[in-house]
Amino acid sequence: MISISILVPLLLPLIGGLIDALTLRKGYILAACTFATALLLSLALFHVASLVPYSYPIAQNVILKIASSTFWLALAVVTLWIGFLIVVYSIGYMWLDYRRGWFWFFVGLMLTCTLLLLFSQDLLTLIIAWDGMELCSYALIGHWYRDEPERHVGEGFTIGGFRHLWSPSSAALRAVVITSIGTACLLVAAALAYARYHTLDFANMGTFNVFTAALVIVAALATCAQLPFTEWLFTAMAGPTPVSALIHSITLVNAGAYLIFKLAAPLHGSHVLTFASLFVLTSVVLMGLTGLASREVKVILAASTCIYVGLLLYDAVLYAMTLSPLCLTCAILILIGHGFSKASLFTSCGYLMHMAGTRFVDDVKVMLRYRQSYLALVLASLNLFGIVIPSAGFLFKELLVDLSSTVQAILILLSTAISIGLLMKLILYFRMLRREATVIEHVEAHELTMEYACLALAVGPYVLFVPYANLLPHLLTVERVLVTYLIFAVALFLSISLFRNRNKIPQGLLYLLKTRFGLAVLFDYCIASAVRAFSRAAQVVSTHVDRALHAGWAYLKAMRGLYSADKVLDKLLHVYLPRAMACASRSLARVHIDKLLNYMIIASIILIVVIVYVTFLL
Amino acid sequence: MFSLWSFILAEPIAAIILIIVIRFTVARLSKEIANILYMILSTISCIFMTWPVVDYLLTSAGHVIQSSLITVPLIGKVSIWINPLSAMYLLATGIVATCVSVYSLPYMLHRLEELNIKDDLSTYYILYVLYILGLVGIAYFTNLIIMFIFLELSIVTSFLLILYYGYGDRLRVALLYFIWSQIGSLTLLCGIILILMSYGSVYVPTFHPAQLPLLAMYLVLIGCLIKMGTFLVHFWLPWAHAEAPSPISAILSPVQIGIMSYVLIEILHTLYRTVLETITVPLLVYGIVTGIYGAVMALSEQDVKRFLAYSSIAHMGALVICVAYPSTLGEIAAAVVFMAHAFAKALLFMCSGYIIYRTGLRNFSALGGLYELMTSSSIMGIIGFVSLSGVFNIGLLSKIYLTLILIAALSSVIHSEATTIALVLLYIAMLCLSVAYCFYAVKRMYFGRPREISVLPYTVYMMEVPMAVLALCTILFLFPNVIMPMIHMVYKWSFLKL
Repeated sequence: MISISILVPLLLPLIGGLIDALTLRKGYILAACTFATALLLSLALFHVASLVPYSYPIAQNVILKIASSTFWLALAVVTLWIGFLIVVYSIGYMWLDYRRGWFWFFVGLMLTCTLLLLFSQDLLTLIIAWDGMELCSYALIGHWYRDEPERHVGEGFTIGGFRHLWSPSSAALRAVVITSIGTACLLVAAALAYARYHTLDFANMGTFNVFTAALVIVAALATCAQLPFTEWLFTAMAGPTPVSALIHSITLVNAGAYLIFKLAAPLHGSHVLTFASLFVLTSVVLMGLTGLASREVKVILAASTCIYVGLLLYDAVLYAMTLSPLCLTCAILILIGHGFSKASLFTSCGYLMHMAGTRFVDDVKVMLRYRQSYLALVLASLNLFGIVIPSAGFLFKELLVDLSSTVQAILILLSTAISIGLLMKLILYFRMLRREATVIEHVEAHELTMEYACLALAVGPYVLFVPYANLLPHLLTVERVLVTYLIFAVALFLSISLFRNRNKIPQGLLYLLKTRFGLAVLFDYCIASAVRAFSRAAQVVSTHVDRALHAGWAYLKAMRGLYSADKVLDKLLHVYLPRAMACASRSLARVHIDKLLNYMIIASIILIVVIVYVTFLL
Repeated sequence: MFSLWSFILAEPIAAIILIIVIRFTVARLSKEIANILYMILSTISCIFMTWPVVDYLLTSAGHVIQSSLITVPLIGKVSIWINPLSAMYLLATGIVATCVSVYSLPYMLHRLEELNIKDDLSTYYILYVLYILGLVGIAYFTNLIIMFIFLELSIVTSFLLILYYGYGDRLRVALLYFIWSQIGSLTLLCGIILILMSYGSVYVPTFHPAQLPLLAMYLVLIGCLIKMGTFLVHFWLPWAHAEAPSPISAILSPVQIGIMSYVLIEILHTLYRTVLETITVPLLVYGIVTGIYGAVMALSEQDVKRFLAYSSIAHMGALVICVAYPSTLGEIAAAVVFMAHAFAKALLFMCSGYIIYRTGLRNFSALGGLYELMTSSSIMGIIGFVSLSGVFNIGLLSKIYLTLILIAALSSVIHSEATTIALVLLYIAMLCLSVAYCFYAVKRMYFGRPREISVLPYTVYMMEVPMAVLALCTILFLFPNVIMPMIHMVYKWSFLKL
């Protein structure tokens, strides 16, 4: 057995990305590093290698701890293999891009942060990884900083003066601001836990009170893009396709669910969880519905992501409620089933759109040549439909239904049906438009790697479920299979009939869904305007006070009155008084002293006479 | 081995004398060489002023080092000390000052040309060295009266720097700054003198909790808050920081106002340890309100430098939160917030100065798409904003510590659940707003289609390299191996104090 520090697989993607960003910018080194990491982690999973935990004391009872357990290692292995295939795909996708260094660096950092989050043993490490992912998704969504019109996301219709169209940079801004709400909640929750238990270790924390638990749930909802925070995910589509694949399948959106898994013990028994589980499933159904109305390929896929990420989060909440180990298995299966398939869907659709030069589902017209991509699309969709029995998609759906009570089970099945509708929409549109398709003969080698990466991703769920095949006998009953196929048939029928009658759908309903129940308007218009108005008001008040204070300057000038009074007094004291004294002195000096004496004697005699006269004669 | 005094006082003064000598010898022959020599001298003295701290951080294990000079009757002993907490403040100050010293040369030459001054940079660099000396003196000296003298030195020199090289109506702005600063520092002085009269000493290392007049505490608090520019006493701050020349803004904004939190810790966390808890809640509310106010004002600000100044106000709110509750965690939080803010804000002021240098613009509406035009400095700017918003880099660490101290204070002072929840929600709003204004600024400045701006076609490495150093600092200090030893030292020191 080989012993390797856990920091090696952790830092390899980051180093690879950094080297790539600084040198060739083609992505080869990152691909090699990701491959090496994935291999290393797989070896560790099969007990060929062992990962030595890393810990660093930070304060009393606060230790930065990074270690792996089987569950997290399994998740990490799946994550890294998907990540590797996405990196291979991006080599072709980013071949001629204008900001490649940026892209490779942040993809590397994103993978490192994901691993750090998976292996974190304390909240401090988790928060660092979490924020790192937030930063990476910001940087990657806003990758095309020039904001070209063809990179925008949204259909561009206007409702109530608000245009549903976002440039990459504003999409990135929305993502970082909305997820930062979750981060702030998580920070406060961590601080509350620290104030109570004086530790940030997951293992040593006691039970959370309602407020702390609610904050943790809100944090999870924000990154998992559930109501009311879904908006950032839908506009995150403004980034390059590999970025969408990365964010939607393995990284940021899963972070919330991982958080709940990590904090399951402190959350266990909290009343918030029951509410949260129903809330998440409702949000899943509602957000899935919104995708049905969209014309944009990536937005449809985003709606489907909302569904599966919601299911993962629900699974995590379920784990916190029951602490049943089956939930952990289910989480791995969801990551295998959804992660691979969603990455494949994004990459194949992205490839088709890349070739067709459009982002709208009814404009894709280059189908004929790209059979591999289409095949990948169908394979991945079939897995997500959950109808192919030996696949991860079927397993995790049935396992989840098995674990939940009736209401939740119905909601789960409903969301699956909606997901079928979403993916059928893509398949149908792409298929129907085949006849008028343009044929592109010449395909470069790097474009071929893209196609094969899609295909490899699509095959994943059909292969990797094997370690969990022992669950099949338990889940494979006649009524389950019947229900599954019944739902599929109904959903298929509905989607085809909706597709046929797509021009007859009432516009009001369509727009309600297209605006995502007005959430876009709420975030971008109502909240933004409220903040703006508040800001303007503060500025106006502030300016007035500032001006009033500057008027103090004018008052200071008005002090001139005082100044002149001062001057008058000054003159009086220092000019007129001395002058008067001098004058008096001079006139005195002119008078002869003997004459003065005579005058004084005469004057005193007169005075005496007057006094005598007055006292004695009156 | 040289004594601390030679590093901190003798070297800068020698540098100033040398600058004067060069002014009358070399400068007569060649102004260019003289300017470079001034820059080198000033940079060396900045490094010298920081070196004892670096040495201390590398070798010491949490105890204080001290060096006395004389004992003055009435005032007491005049001595220098380095403790783990001041070491963190001084390290950040020193790194920023060194970088800015190099950065100033091209910028100030450009500014002199704009102002049509025919002189060389000797006046600027003499004032600059004195200014940095004043700032480090505040943290180095043990005696509050001497500390006040150094505070005055920093105020006077920065006033002159704004007056000589500022933008806009610089006479008025400089006076405004000077008057407000004097109100603040004189209030502080009154507090210090009251302490001297009632406690009998202003020698910080011997401070311990005592029955002292509350008036002194309020005077010190209000004086420092005016100097920090928190809500309602902030009106001077946007003017002064926006109209100062950019290198001076880079010192004024994070260091000059932030270091007042160290003064607050020195006085309030020692003498008024028990009394401070009674006003913790109002201070916390005040800090959060300041944070929200600064962020909200920054959101709709059009001028880049004023925007950065408002963001400084928001960060002063964070420092008030750190100082509000007397605990070691709070002191650490204050030091980390100060460091994070110092690196990020200095970097951003340097970036805005670089943009002014190369495009002559400082208005958000005129900028946009700068990433295309000046990529390397834009990346540094983005790093700065990321750190400032607290999304990653050292800013994240400061955000974590800030939250920890806020919640620790709330849970030990407030017992009603509803008040805690209300304050926490306000605090969450403050954090989100700070992310929003930072990234909104990034979008407005750097992204989008490049505008029709005339940009100087060459890169000025003398400006970009110091910026890169600061950007690297913001990243480097996130790593636990770099910053945690310092924090451990503060913990150890607090144990030693007890």
